[in-house]
Amino acid sequence: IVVRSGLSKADGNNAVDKQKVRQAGSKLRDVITEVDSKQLHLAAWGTTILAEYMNRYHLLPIKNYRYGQDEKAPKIFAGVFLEKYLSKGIPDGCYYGCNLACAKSAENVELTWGPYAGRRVNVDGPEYETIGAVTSMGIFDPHFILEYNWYCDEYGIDTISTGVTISFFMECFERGYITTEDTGCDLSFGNAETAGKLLHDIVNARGFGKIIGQGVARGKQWVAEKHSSRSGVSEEALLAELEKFGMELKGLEFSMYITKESLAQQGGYGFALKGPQHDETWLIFIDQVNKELPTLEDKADALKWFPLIRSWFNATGLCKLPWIDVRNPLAADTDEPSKNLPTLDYYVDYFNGTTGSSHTLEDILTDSERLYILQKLINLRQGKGTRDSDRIPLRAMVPVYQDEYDSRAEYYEELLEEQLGADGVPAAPEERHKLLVENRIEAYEKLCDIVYEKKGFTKDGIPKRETVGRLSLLDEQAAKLLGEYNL
Amino acid sequence: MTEKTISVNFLGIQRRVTGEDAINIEMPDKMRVIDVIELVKNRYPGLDLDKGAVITTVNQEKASADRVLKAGDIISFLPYISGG
Repeated sequence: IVVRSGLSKADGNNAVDKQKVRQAGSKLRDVITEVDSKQLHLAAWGTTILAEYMNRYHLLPIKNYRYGQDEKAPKIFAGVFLEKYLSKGIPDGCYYGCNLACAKSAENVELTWGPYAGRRVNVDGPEYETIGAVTSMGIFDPHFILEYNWYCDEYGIDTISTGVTISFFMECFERGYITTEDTGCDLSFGNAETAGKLLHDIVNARGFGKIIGQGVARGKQWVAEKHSSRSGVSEEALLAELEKFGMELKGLEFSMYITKESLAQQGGYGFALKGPQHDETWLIFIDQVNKELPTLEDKADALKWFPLIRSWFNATGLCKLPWIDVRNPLAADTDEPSKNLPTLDYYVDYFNGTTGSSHTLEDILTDSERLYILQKLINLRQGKGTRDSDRIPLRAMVPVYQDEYDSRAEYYEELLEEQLGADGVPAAPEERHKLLVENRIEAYEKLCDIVYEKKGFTKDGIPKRETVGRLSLLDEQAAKLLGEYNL
Repeated sequence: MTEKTISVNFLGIQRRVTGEDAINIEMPDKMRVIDVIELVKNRYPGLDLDKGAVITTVNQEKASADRVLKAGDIISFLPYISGG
């Protein structure tokens, strides 16, 4: 269905019950006004505020997701951007009428590199994801972040995919899989000059930029072929190694959170239909910090519910931050505060007021599930819909190499002792690391089993015939597709 | 920190309200999380540390109010971050 509309305006969608819409908006505004300034203060700082929290809880994706925390991180915390760069005292917000208005911008920023060096520009951002992408390259320079943000916008390339891809090649360079003979530059982590140059080379398909511009999925293959021809090691063996730290799944690069200590978010990334972005699911804090999902069953329930409601926000064109990042005080008295159900009630009212329907939240979740399964079937048709496509890289689960383990050895030893008892933990750090890796791989497979069951999928992650039928999607095309998997 | 202190780290807007990055607190015997919360609230009345506003973490994990602290523990007050 294609809908043609005039210029966007506040009442441009001709709500059936405008009073109901206004009331829902008013309630949401009251919550945001009361609470945001005491919680994340997104209205003032935007999502730049998240950098500090991610660093504190070892979640910043530093050096290709190797480490979650760095002593240089305060250089890119929100206060730096707020004091030195972000425009103040002007209306902002990415959407007219948004109550949260957390989209920030920096005016009059001088570009210091690239084809527009010397020009002063306005930067739409930075959002946390862009900051995270730059830390993934090992860079902690706020001015670089702004320039990187601006150029990516100017060129129309994604800050996340670009940063994660450059980071992958930085790690390949560090590990000797590629050399300056391949890259034409020093591709060490933290080299902002090189990272900046490569951004332009990517867009112009120039030099090594032409290779990087293919992304991590194709990049792994290229590196494997290249190094195999020089080293004599088989491409297959090299690819297996590169897949441990090549942070992509279903062809998309990971978004900017370390998931090693959150099995729920490992699933959140692994099961996401479009690839490992947190749009569908963000369970890191309620799992890793709040410990609200202690069992596999809890995690699986969350991995069913949250993607449905979060995807509904996308389907209706609504931003989820006013719901999910501003905790309604009334939520504390509900059984599941993390779902922030009192605020969701406002959105249900808004939806019903706009469309004239009388949906309940359950109806909305069912609508979303129908859309979810449709997308899943499309994934299946396109070859990205089975369990294999949900298997995340090792680095998303566990420290891959010994130095990564050693950087948090004490933490991991305590964890292993807690899980296995002191007698169950080997003495040698290498053996402990190996045990941790085995445990994490096993845990993820168990998560797949239980999540698939909750979602009405087979053990191979394919929607069962009855699941598709329940959602009125079992047409001839779907039946034929499922038939190819003997369903 | 000395042998019998715990540290309270302030994050985000809390640093602006308190004017501090962190404070060290000399521990009496059997100091609990709730005791620290009350102490901090009294010292910085502008900070909202009610249950509905923040989660209290000890050494990066959510802690119950009656948890007894030990020397070297690091307490933080985490706003609800659920969105990404």
